[in-house]
Amino acid sequence: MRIEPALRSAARAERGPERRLTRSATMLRRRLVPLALLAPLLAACEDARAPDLDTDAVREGRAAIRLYGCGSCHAIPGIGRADGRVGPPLTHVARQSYIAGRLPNTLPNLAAWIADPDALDPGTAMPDLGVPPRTAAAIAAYLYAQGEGA
Amino acid sequence: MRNALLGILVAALVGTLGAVAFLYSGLYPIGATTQHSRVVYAAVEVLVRRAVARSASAVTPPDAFDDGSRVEEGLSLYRGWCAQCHGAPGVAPAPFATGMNPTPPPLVQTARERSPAEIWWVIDNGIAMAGMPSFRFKLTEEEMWAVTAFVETLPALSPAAYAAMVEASGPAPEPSAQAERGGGT
Repeated sequence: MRIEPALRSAARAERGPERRLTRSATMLRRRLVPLALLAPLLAACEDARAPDLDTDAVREGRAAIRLYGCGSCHAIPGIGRADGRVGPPLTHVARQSYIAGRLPNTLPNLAAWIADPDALDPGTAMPDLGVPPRTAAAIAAYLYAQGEGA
Repeated sequence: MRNALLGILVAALVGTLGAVAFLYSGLYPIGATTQHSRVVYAAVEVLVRRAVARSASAVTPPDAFDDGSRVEEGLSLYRGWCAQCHGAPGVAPAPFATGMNPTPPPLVQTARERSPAEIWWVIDNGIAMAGMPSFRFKLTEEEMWAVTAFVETLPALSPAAYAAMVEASGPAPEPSAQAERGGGT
């Protein structure tokens, strides 16, 4: 739920895209390695998905996905009216090999992509929505938690 | 027979009272942060799609509407009036817009799915309770056709090509200046 303005301006204040990426990646690794390790298990086992949805990051990610309007471009499991067909459906994110056909699909990469798509794939149609790194990590966690998708 | 009728009447009365009680209870989650149920979304989707299709069936695009002559003016108007909420290829909407519920859709998908007449009608009339304003008295009919012509180019417009068009057309015009120009219909 908390999409912190302070974090956002901090992200903006970072000097270059590279610096920003390194920093958010480090932060992500610290926070989300346990989740990343869990993700393949969850994808394989549907019943294990439900408890994972209760973690704070996943919950925050779900709220952020609504408030950033991700569903106007993407079909996203578990998000009402997220039926956009502008970008790819985000139903099997954890099992996908690459992000945007370009980056190896890891949780930190996914978060970095959400936070600043153009820095990773110049000319992409996915816009920079100003998602702060922490929120981007939460969104990535939510998407990973969907496993096979609904 | 009489009992059945009475039963139906009582049921209708109880249902009506229940609905009124629900309205006044304040229990409906009205915040933009709360999702409506899938049923509500699905119903609204059908309602809007059918109503727009029906209303727009009386609209006819002007001759040579898609000959390309309107696109440049359409781009200028789009940047002044539309991009804040709908974004553009590779360009995010303004931050306030993504907090709207429903989120204003990216118009590339609209252009792929709806006819020019439908798009023009929605610009002219807006959509009640969806946040889409009516642009009647803000833009002339011709200007709304120009916007429609630009929106029609979106499915074939890459983010890079859009950026080049924007670069070529200079700074985004002020909406207020256009309101005066368009208000003289």
